[in-house]
Amino acid sequence: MRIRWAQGVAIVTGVLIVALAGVFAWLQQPAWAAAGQADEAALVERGLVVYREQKCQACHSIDGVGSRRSPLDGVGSRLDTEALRKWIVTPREMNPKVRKPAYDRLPKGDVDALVAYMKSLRTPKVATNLGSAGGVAADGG
Amino acid sequence: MARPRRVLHATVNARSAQPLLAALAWMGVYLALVLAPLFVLLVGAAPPGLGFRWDLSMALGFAGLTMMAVQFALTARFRRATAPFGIDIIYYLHRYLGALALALVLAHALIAIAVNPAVASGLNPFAAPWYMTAGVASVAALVALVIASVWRRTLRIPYEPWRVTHTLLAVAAVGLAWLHMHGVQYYLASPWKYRLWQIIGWSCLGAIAFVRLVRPWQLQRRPYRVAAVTPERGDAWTVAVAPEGHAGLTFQPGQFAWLTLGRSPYVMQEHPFSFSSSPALGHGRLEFTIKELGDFTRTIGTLPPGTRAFVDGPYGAFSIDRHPAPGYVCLAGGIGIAPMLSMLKALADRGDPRPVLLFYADSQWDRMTGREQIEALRRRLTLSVVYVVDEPTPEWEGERGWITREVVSRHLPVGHAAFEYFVCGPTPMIGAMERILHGLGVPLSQVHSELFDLV
Repeated sequence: MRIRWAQGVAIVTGVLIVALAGVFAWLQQPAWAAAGQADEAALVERGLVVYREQKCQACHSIDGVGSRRSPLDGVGSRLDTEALRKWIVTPREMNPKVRKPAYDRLPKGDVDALVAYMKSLRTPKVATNLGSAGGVAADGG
Repeated sequence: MARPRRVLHATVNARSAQPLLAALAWMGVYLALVLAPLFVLLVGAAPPGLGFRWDLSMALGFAGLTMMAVQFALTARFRRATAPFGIDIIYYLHRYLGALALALVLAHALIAIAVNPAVASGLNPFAAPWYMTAGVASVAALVALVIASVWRRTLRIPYEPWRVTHTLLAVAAVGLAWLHMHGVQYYLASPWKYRLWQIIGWSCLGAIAFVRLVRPWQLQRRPYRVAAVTPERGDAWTVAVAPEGHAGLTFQPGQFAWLTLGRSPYVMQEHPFSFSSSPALGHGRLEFTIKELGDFTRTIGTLPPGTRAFVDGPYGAFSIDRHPAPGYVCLAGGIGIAPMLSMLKALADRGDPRPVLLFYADSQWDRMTGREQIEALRRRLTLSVVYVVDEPTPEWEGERGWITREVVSRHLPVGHAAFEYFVCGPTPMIGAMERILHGLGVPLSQVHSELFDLV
């Protein structure tokens, strides 16, 4: 009985943890759902959608939102369109030692949108002080 | 006549509700410890959602990490926290919740890869960022830890090396998972949130330091010496220890302690054994009746008197003192007689007139540990004993085989419905006795047992 009792407590605990993890994920969705309804006709807005769809925030941050490991604030001021495209699609062309996934299977339209979105991230105040292109996307995806 | 019966039922119901309430309260505490740090991430600035499945994956990862962290506290032997149920339940929960933490961490990784296949590039340590490799290494350590624990006997891993490895793998799994979280930095933009997770990491090290340094230091300040080692029937020994320079400890009959014999308390060489003596033995002296079942217990007979000993206890909820009743039924198999001896001796020392029925099963009459002590106790107690012998001699006239439903029903006394039942023996026997007693109408809330097969 004591083994079954322990098993029962563990199962109930596990179900509650998974359910509450689901609640956590659900609570996170409204703002994103609204963002997802943005007008996709505008390339920059589509780029924002792609940025989120590809979970870029897991390794990058914009305005302090996301992982602070590789901030993208001002990247549009520091890199041209072609460099941005290479950092996304073939990052090792930009830096052979970089450990970053290559998004070479992303549809061209999505890459175009993402590049446009990156290009829109212009913050001159920050851009003047940020380092080299390698610091833009040194890690992760 | 109906009135006392109603009162009895009310008492039994109240008794059975208490452990349930205590269990629910502690489950709430556990869930708060595991999930509060997760929901704190949503307070203040938080990254926007990236799709339900992605955020579920993140939540499962965080929950898996806190579950791993709380695992350290579960086996830290905090007496007050384990008292309501008995520490054996906590060890079994530790086992099951460890497997659950592994499931959550695996789900975290698999869901993330399913939602965003680019995450799979993190599996390649030559191409992935260091923090992704740390995450993969954490999962590998956790898988190794669970496999070594669940199949320790099958893999023939000795107990002591397993314990050391278990601790090292646990520290590695949590440490690497923490580094993974630190490297990704997702959801941890606010410094105070980052500090919260730092505290969680340090808490694990604190729990280890408490178990491996503070508690041994406490034990070292209250040493014991082996006073006598007495051979018993059935390849067993009774080890008597006496406190050295302190008053000893108080325990309830039926409880157990972790015993270290002839080694430093810092070396993780302690083993759990039931007290077989009465708490009223005097001078703080304690006795443990131990059967030769493994590498360590086979050395008990060679212990010279005067050997240094350390006693970490008492633990366990298996005691007549926790379950007042008009009478008791004890069912023991093999060395499961040890805590029963403690309870019978305590009742005898107190001059308790309440009836006790003892079923005691073993393979052979000549191997029944403590047989003479039981016969001596019969003269001091209202004690009936039913010996059940599996391999009887031709002249044996008592019960034969195992303790079956027929054997139990043949001997249960009038009024047994109000008695409390104590079962101790091999794990399969405990399950069998519970089924038999339940089949005979005994509520399971009145059946008490303790699991010693902790690993």
